[in-house]
This record gives sequence, C-alpha cells and structure tokens, in this order.
Amino acid sequence: MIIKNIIFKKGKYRLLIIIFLLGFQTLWSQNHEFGQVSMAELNEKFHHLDSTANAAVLYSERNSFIEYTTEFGFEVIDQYKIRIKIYNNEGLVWANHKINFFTNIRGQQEVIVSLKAATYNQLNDKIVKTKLEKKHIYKTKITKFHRTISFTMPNVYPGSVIEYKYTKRSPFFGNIDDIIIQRNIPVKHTKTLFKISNKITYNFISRGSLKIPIIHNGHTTSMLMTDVPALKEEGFVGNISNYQLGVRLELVSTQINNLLRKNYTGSWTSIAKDIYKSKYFGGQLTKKTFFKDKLKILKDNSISEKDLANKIFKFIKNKITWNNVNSYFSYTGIEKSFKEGVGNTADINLALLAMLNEAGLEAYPVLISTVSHGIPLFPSKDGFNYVIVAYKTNNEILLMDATDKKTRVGVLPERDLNVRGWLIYPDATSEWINLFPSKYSIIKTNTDVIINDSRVNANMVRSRSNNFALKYRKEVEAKNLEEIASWIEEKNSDVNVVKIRVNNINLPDRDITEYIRFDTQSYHEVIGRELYFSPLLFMQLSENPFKSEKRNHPIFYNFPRIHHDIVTLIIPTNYSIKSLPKPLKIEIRNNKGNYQYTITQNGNLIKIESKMAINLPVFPKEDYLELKSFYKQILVKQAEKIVLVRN
Amino acid sequence: MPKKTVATLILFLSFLQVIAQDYFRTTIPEHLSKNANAVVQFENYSIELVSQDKMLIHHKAAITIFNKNADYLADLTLYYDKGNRINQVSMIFYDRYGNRIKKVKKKDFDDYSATGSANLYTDNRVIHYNYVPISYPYTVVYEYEKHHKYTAFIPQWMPIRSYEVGVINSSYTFSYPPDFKIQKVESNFDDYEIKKIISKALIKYSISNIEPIKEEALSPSYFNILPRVKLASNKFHLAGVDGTADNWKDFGKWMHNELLASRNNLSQETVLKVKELIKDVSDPMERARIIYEYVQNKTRYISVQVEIGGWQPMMTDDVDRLGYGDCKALTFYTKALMDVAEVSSFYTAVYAGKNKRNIEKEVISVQGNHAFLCLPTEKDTIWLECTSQKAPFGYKNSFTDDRDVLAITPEGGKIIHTTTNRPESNLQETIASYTINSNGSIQADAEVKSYGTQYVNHLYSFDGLSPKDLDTKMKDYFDFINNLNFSKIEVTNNKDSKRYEESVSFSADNYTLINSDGSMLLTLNALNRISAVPKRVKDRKTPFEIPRGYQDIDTYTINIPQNYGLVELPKPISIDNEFGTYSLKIEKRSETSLLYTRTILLNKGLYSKEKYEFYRKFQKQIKKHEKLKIILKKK
Repeated sequence: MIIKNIIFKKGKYRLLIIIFLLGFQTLWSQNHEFGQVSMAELNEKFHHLDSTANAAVLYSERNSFIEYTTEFGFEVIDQYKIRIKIYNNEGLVWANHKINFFTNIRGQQEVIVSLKAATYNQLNDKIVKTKLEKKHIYKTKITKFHRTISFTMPNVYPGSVIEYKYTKRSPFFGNIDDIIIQRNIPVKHTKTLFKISNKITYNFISRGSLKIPIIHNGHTTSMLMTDVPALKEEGFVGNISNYQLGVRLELVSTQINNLLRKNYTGSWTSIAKDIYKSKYFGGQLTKKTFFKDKLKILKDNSISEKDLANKIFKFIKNKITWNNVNSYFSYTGIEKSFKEGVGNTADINLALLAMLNEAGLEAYPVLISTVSHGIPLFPSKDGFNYVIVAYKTNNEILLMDATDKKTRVGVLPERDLNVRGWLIYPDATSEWINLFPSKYSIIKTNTDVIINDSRVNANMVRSRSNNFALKYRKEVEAKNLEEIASWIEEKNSDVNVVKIRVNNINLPDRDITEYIRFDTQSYHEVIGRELYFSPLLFMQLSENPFKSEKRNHPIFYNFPRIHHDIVTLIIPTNYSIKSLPKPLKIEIRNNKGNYQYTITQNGNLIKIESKMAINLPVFPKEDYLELKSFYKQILVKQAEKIVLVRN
Repeated sequence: MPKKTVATLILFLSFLQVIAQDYFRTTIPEHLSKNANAVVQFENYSIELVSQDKMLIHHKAAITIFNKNADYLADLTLYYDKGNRINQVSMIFYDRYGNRIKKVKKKDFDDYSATGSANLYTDNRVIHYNYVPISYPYTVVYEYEKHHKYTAFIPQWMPIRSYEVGVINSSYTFSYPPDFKIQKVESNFDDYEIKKIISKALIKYSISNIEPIKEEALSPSYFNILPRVKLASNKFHLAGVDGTADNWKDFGKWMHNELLASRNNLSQETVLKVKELIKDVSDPMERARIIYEYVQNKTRYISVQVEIGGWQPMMTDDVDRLGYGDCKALTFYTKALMDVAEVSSFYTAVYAGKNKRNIEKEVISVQGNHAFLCLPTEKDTIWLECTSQKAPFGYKNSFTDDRDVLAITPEGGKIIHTTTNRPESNLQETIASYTINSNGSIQADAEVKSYGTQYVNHLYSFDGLSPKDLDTKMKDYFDFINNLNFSKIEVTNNKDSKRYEESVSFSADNYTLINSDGSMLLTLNALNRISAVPKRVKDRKTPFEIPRGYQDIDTYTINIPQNYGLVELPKPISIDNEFGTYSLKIEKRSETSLLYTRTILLNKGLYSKEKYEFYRKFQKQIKKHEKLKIILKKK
C-alpha cells in the first residue's frame, strides 16, 4: 500500500516503475508465449530446486478483466494459461484436467470458451507437438448447477511438457475464483494480472506461509512469483489448504453511475447488519409461537437458568436431525424444520437460539467456518459456512452445536474446532471468540492386575470426558456391548474381554465409563526365572506421532488433553521384585505440556501412575522438535518393564 | 369415451392393488430382527423380457432399517443411459409406528453424472435420493420401473442383500418369449429353502423367513455364501448390436465379430515399427515381452466410457496416436501388436478384484468388469495386465488370479481358470545383520526381496515415492521399532526377476531394554514381526477363509556388544499344521554373534467354523514367538 502511494504521488517514480514493469513484461513474454515450448524445457530431467517433484508448473498465467455492459452488467473474463512439465510416471496424473463451472438458481451461467491444449515431446532432437482434439474434450453435466469439462492430454510420457489455455466468462463478479499460486507440485513462474473496471472495487487478500507481492497500478493489480515450493501434507494440521499460497478477492463495492453505489463489505458491522436483516437469519429468530407450549413445559421443569439452557439444547438436538448440509442461513425455515425433524445447520441452531432467547437466556449466534472450509481471511459472508450458538452465563461463554446428538453444551464436534468464531450481537456489534475448548478432555484408567503363570487378569475402569467421550460415542455408534467388546479386542490384539459394562453411552451430558474385565498374554513374559511385565498394558504409547525431522506448519491438537493411567499390580506370591522403572517428570517449555511417571511399592502392591498433559490446542511449528523429543522420552519410559524374580 | 373410462378403471384397480401391497409389519419377529441391521419385509422383483431389445423391470421392496449400518439399503441409486430409461420411481418412508414420514417422487431425486474419480468421462447417469433418517427403526417402501433396450444384463436375484440382513419375503419373476432360451445359475442354494417355478416362458423364485447372518472375522465374501440367481438370454441386445449365443464358443465369436474385430486399424507405420522391434527375435515369448514393455512405455490407463465404448475398445490406431486407453483399449491394442509380431494372444474378460469371483460359466452372457490378455504357451499360460506401467511381464496379479475368465480365441469363447500362486512363491525374503551397542541401540542393514503377491504389496507401498514419503512408509513398515533413523533406503522394481527389492540401513536408540543390573533384554526379531491375531468370535456361524497363502523367510546375523555375554539360548521352535508352518532357530556363531532364522508359511484355504479356534491358537503362538527375547549379561 505504501508503494502504491509513492507511485501516484511522484511522477518520476511512476515512470520508473512502469519501465520496470515493461521490462518484466518483455522478459516474461520471451519464453512463456503459448506454444513456445523450448528444447531446454523438454530436456529438463528434474526440478532444479526440488529433485523429488513428479511434475512442475513451468509457467502459469491468469489474466482477468472485469467488464461492465449495460446489457449484461458486470462480467468476469478469466484467461488461464498453464504449462506443466512431467518428470516421471507418478507425474502423469498431471495430464488429466478438469475445469468446473457453474450455473445458479436464476439461470445465470458461466461458460468456458477457446480451450486449446497440446503436448510437446522431444523426438530425435526435434520438438513434436500433439494437439488435443476437440472430440476428446468431454463436457459433463454433473448436477443441475455444476458442469465440468474434462480432458486428458495425448502422448504424455515422462519428459513431456503439456500446455493448455482457456477463457472462462462468469457473471458471478461477487464470487471470483481464488488466485492459486501454490500447488502440490513446484511452480517455477506464476503471473496474475487483474484489470478491473472503474465501476467496481475489490480487496486482494492473501493467505499462506510466504508473502505474496501484490502490486496495484491504477485499475490493474499484478502478482508475480517465481520458484514457489510444492505444498506438502503433514499430520495434525487441520486443513492444509489454509497454508496454500493464494489470493482471494473480496468484492468491496460497485458504482454504475453517480447514484447507484452499492457497498458489499467494508466493515464487520455492515455484514452483521446484513445477516441479521436476512429473512433466512434474523427473520427466523422472530418466529416463536410454534415452540411456545414446549418451552413452557421445559421452563416449568427446570431448576435454574443453566439447567433450562441445557434442557432446551437437548430438546432441539433430539427434535431436529442434521441433513449434513452446512449453512448459516435457514432456507427451510426453523418452523418447518422443527415440524419435519430435519434441517441444515442453521435450521437447527437458529431454532435453538430462538428458543433460548425466548426463554430469556442470553445467547447469540456465532458464525464459523468449518475445518474443511478453511480459516476466514476477511470480513465476508463467504468466509463462513456454519452457525453455532454462544450462551453467556456467569461471565462464562458456553458454545452449543445441536447438529450432533452426541455432544453436550460446551463440547463442539471436531469439524467446528477451527480456531475462532465470530459472535454477532443483534445491534450488529461483534467479537471474535476462541472455538478451541479450554476444558481438558481426559481419558483416565484405573486398573488392578493379577499375574497368573500364563495369563494376566485385569479389572479396568476407564472414563472419558468431553471431546474424548464424543469420539468414543461416534466410534461405538450402532454397536451393542458384544460388538464393543469385540472392537476393543480388535484394537488390542490378544486381549480377551471377559466382561464389559459401559455407562452413559446415550447420556452425552455425562462422562463415559467403561468397566472392563479382561485377560491377556501380551504384556508379560517369563524368561528363565524372571518375569517381565509391561505395566501400562495397552495404554502404553506404541509409536511417536511425529516421525519427520522437520515441520512446516503448526501442530493442531484441537483440544487440551490428559491421559492419566493408574495400574496396581499384585505381586504373585512366589515372586519378589528385581527391578522397577525409575520415576520421570518432564515438561514442554513454559508448561505447554508435561508428563509424570511415578511408581510406588506398598507391601505386595506396586502402583504405577502415568500422566500426560497437552495444555494447548495448537502448538507453533517452532515447538515441533521439542514435542517430538517429549514423546520420545515418554515412549522410552513407558516401554520399561517391571522385573520380578521367582523365589 | 367409454374406452377411456375402462382404462381409467383398470388403472385405478391396479392402483388399489399397489396400495394393498404396501402393507408391512411394524413389529418384526424377534428371530428375524435379532442381529439384523435391516429386514427386507417384502421384495418383488419382476422382469419381463419382451423381445430381444426390450426388457421391463419392475422392482418393489419394503425394508425396515434398524441402524445406520443399513442406511445404504434405503439409499436407492438407479443408473440410466441411452439404452436404459427410468420410467417411474417413488419412495415412501415410514416411522416405527407405520406413520408415513415422507413421500419422494422422481422429480425429488438428484440427477447427476456417474463420472467419479475413477473415470475421466462416462455418459452413464444416476438418480439418487438422500434421505436423512430422523430415528430408527424406519421403513422404506420403494418402487421403480425401468425400460431397458440393452438386454445383455438381466438383473440378478440376491434376496439376502448382505450379512446382518433378515428377510420375510422375497420373490423374483422372470418372463420371456417362449422361443428364447434362458440359461441360469443358482448359487449357494444348499442351506436355504427356496421355492421355484420353472415353466415355459416363466421362471419364478421365492424365499421367506431368513434369519440374518452375522459377518465374522475372515468370513468369506457374502457373494460366495448367500443365495443368488443369475439369468441370461440366448438372444440379447447391447448398444445397437444384437447377439445370439447358445454356448461360449458362439458368444466368443459374437464378441469378436461385433465388438472387437472392427476396432483394429493399426497404421502401416505402426505395423512396420512393431516388425522392426522384433525383427531379430525368434522366441515368441521374448517377442511378447518386448511388445508388452513397449506398450507399458507407450500408454497409460485412462477410463473414458462413451456409449458402446462401455463395452467396446477404442480403435487401436487411436490408442497408438493418443497414448492412452482403458483396460479394453489397452488390452486390445496389445493384442493387435502381438498379432503383428505373430504371437498368439486372447482378449480376456474377468471379474477383477482382491475377492475372487468367477465368470459364471452356466450363463452365457456379457460378464466381467475388466479385460486383460491371455498368452497361451506350450507349458504354461501367461497373463498380461495391460493397464499397469510397472508390472513385470507375466506377473501373476492377485486382482485376476485363481478364477474363471472368458478368453476370446479364434475358435470362439473359452472359459479358462487363471493360475494360483503356491504360498512358497508369494515369498518375502529378508536377509539382515544387526549390531546391538552397549547403550541398547541397534544398527541394522537389511535386504528385503519380495515375490508373487508380496511383490505387489511392496510395489504399491514403496514404488515411486519421494525420499520423504519413502522414509515415512519405511517407518510404518518397521513400526515396532521407535526412534528409527534411516541412513539408506533404496528400492528397486526388478522387473526381470519379478521381484521387489529394498535395501535399508537404520539405527534406533533404546532398542533393547536395559535392566537395573546392567543386563539387556533383546527381542531377536528386529525386522519382520507379525503381531496381529485374528479376532475372537463367540459361537462362530460362518466358515472362514484364508484367500492367499504366503511365505516369509528371515535370516539375521546378530552381533552383541563385546562386554556382554549370552546366558542361555532358546530351543528351536517348529509348528506344523494344516494352516501352515512356523519355525525358528537360534545358533551361536561366536561369543558375540548369533544366527537367527525364521520361516513362516501360510496356506490358502476355506475352513470349517470349528477350526477357527485352532487357527487363532496357531496365530497366537506365532505372535508369542515373534517377540522371543534373550538376556544379555554384562561381563
């Protein structure tokens, strides 16, 4: 932005920069003209910076114009051009392409025109070009609103270069395709140019872990980058596309003539106002009569405000089943959804909100973007795809999502746990709130163990709270007790579940408690006179979740957690202790996590206690090596055995 | 006018009948609902073959769904294309009390392209309705009518849809012109009481009161257990082509003449090129190998299915020019090149997949979901998978092994059984040496060679990965060792020897357990440990199957620290039973060196349920021995 000001204020700088840009232009146009594939490109055997790449984008270009005609209004014209090098057999998937385009409910449609494509190969020191034939371009109507054009390039082999270009004309000027800079193969050169009519304005908002140089010059905005590394997947990352370099265009305003100015975004307040004004949102919150009778009954039966909130939540989540559709607009309407028992996210959670408000409880909608939808970059309606409810009581905010019958007040399904949500008040003021729970999710086990000669017999009580309980409920859904036992046996090979009882599976308000009696031969061994026992049984950590040496992205746990295991072993009568593991206490810097292992002997009892706490929902990537070594130390400690010797 | 009234009345009457048939129970007998995810209350499948190119299908069913595992049975997905039309379809959903919740008409269905991630394009389409169950149980009653021009595929009857599904009543009626000949195969009928009426122009089956069968660990595929009827007509139609066949010979001729022969238009240039490739080679097998590898380098697999292209290969010259094709196209192209090279080969249809499924020889009809190439030789038959760029020449693939297939020979169609690998040839051989240091760390060098089905497991796991992904995959392969650090990972797809080779070197801290007296506990098997034991099954009802056998042979030279000594070596172990063999031996080479050899061989087989516990016991013993430890005493 500062650069832009300089350009316009000082003429000579402007000239300089224009010359600079022109210089760039000629330099770029030399080898990137469509069809001008060079021998050097065909000869290239691997990517100069990433020799492991299966393919690379040699050049990608997007020229976009936003035009206005009185006849059609605004139209977006996107000219795409891409040249890809295939290095090996694994890279051949880059010969297949699919272009999506859409129609909306009013019949406005996007069109794809002038698709041209060719493959280039080297044969006897000559460049051989094979064009993609028209009859091998397939147009598919996927649904009423979604069409694709798909094609695969002819004659593609390791070493080939392919190139294609096409133009997309779209009436959807408020929803321009993101500018994609990074892909899962390296990109050598990428250039994007936006020429925008003076009747319309956009904000360019970038995302990703590198800085994207966005240069504005009058009505033209350009982005040039070279040597963009491939985007690579990592575990514990949430949604990797949050880190993909790219730019999203936010429509700010249109002004067709002096009178007709229309603002689309700008402030959070205006968006909040718009959303509340919508008949699918604010309009729904005024509908109250249909649940009046039910609310009265719930009110009469509750002992406190919090209890009432809880009862309303339970009532709604059991009353309306989620149809797996995400939205913060209630298109069906809360009343109809209530009657039919099916609805999208907004149908359900706005019904919940309306009922809470009608009951006189302080509750507000929170717009969120689910994990798969990415993190919202700027104030915009498209940044969100979901709505939940915040209930304020005693200076505490309790979040609710009634789309999942297995949750409770204050526990959100994992799809919701995407950093932060936007709480909007009816007066259109708003605030960001943390979606990651501050409450720990805890798995606690307490096990009594007796060793017979050939088998270990154990009695275990295992409890799970909050998100761990939710996970468990999902895993055992539609399983009876016998099947749960069998599932436990399957996860822990050679464990025989003799008896099992599970409390509270269908009472999401409470923690899950399992009572499991089992026997096993997997956790002890007799070698000569000595007996080796692995005290943590199947609670022992079996592998380090972090295996790679480096980390590019933050580490997402999504909720703070504790694994707490207590094992009490009765020493068999004819044995005595030979050696016991030593206690251990370690911590991740600033107490972001800690681990404690203690072992005590009392008469013929040995008590082992292991407790690991992860105190943050997200760790910065800088903490990676420390986390990895934290797990390494825990693995070593937990692998230690109690050694008993026969008298 | 009067005519119309009568018509209306008839229409109305038939309507009444339909409504009356809607009757279903809101309570289902306990013996049918116990262990059931769903119960088919009634099902009437009626198919009328009107003429060679006209078949009317009417299907109506009422199914009660008890939990989400069976939601798929209420999920009606109907395919259609140019030859098959959906005339009408409706679904009605009822709650547990029999109250109607929702009625869905044709216009409420989603209509979309059947192009998925596996296809670049297909002109097949589907309609589908996404019902959100509000509570369980619920009952769906659906009914549809389809009009098929393509009569080559007559829908089969499989009254018990899957494991854990009960049936109250199901019937299947097939009528046909009396001058047509219908072939049929009844599979897995033995344990069921099935009523049938077979008369001129009409075939009818029905079954009732079937208790659900629970799927158990290692149960055979339900397809091979549950009763099933498949029919075919000797006169049929497919994508504009009529066919008549009373035996496989004629059917093969029809396929050759109508679907294949006209697809070969190799250019003279290509013919010359092929001749050039093999000009100095006289051995037909060597010629075949050269051509196969030429095709592998020249083409890649892409699925495009347009109209008859669903059944017919692309023109061979198109494959040659474009460098891609689907299984039919690539197989037929390879065959065309083999013809030029004067190597005899047969285009072959198969049901491909890990679960073995035969082309049903009793019903002469268009079958299979894949094509590959058969190369008859004097002593053996060689099978070529033409869609793979990696498979070695003549590699026996577990996607097409051990099953009946249909080969199109010059004399007509022929059912052939593909070869099975003996367990010994599905070999994984690990030769390694490792050193234990006095701090408990391990340093190992290992060579792993895999053949047969194990070849393909290793190929799919390790081939073509970036070094980073290879590192991750290797860490998964050795997941019983923590803190792994690889200093070398080399993988080779040795096509000539039909084996996959890995050569790795790694180290890991804390491999052994050090006791407080300084002695160390060493788990001898450091490189290839089997740790899974088949699940316990109470009161087993179904037989169990080990679909493929294999053999692992491991030989490790183990060096222990100089300042440590061996206390006592375990005795050799040898187990031998009908499931296979396991043996293990530890020999002392020197004061600080051991030789560990271990062999496991597992046979394929279908076993009675009574033997399951023995099999589990065998696997448990193996698991125990895999973790065999010795104590190293500090000197």
